[in-house]
Amino acid sequence: MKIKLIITLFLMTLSSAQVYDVGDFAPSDFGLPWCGNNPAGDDSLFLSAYNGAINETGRPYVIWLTAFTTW
Amino acid sequence: MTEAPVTQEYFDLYADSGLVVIGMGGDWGQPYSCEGWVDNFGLGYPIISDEDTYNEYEYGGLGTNLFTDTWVPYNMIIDHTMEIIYSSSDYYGQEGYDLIFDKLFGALNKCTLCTCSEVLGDIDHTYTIDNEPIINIMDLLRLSDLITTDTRMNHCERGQGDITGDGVLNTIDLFAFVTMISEGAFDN
Repeated sequence: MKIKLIITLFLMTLSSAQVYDVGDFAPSDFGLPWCGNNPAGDDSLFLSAYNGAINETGRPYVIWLTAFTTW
Repeated sequence: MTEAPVTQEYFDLYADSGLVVIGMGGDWGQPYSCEGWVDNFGLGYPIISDEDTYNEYEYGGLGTNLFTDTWVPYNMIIDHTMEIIYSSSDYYGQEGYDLIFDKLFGALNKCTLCTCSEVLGDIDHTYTIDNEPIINIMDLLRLSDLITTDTRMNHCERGQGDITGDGVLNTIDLFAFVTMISEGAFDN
């Protein structure tokens, strides 16, 4: 019975999982392996690197995250 | 594939204004590798690989599953507070890009208001002709609005409004601000 309950709760959690949308805050721990234009030489790029940071001209960053495939 | 030159064009134009483009690619090798994609389109912004697949959700990896619920290309604009202000798949040609650019410009322009002056109490960013910050009752009203309406503050306002320096913005900061203004603590 307990196992069924756990499985049900697990499936309910999965079914209610949603993607981040407008109005949400990007997860600060989100990062992926860096594969192109990597001047810092870090293994991964984390969005948190831009949180509260400023560029060379003293401006806060606005991120345009564009997801694509090569086909 | 057609979006890559557009993103690079805007990155070139607005990087100084704070824009950072991050390409999140996947399904490499059809036909481009990550390096090939960069070389072919002459891209200068960071590319991350979204193939660290944690599940079998059609294609893509963690990023695709976290941020998109539809197909690629998919674009998101994240402002300086890390709030997602635009999230959409854009297969709508110029009309779709116009929408992205509107959001982008709005966020970049908003950031001109939050360039930190590092002057305590400089909430509304008014200046004399000599570029000296003017700190007066208007800053107090602005801070009061921010605190009482629970409006989300940017990082500059948090710093400049924390009059007591305790790391928390609340009515105690307002009382402290009133006291400082009435006692002429600000030299203007």
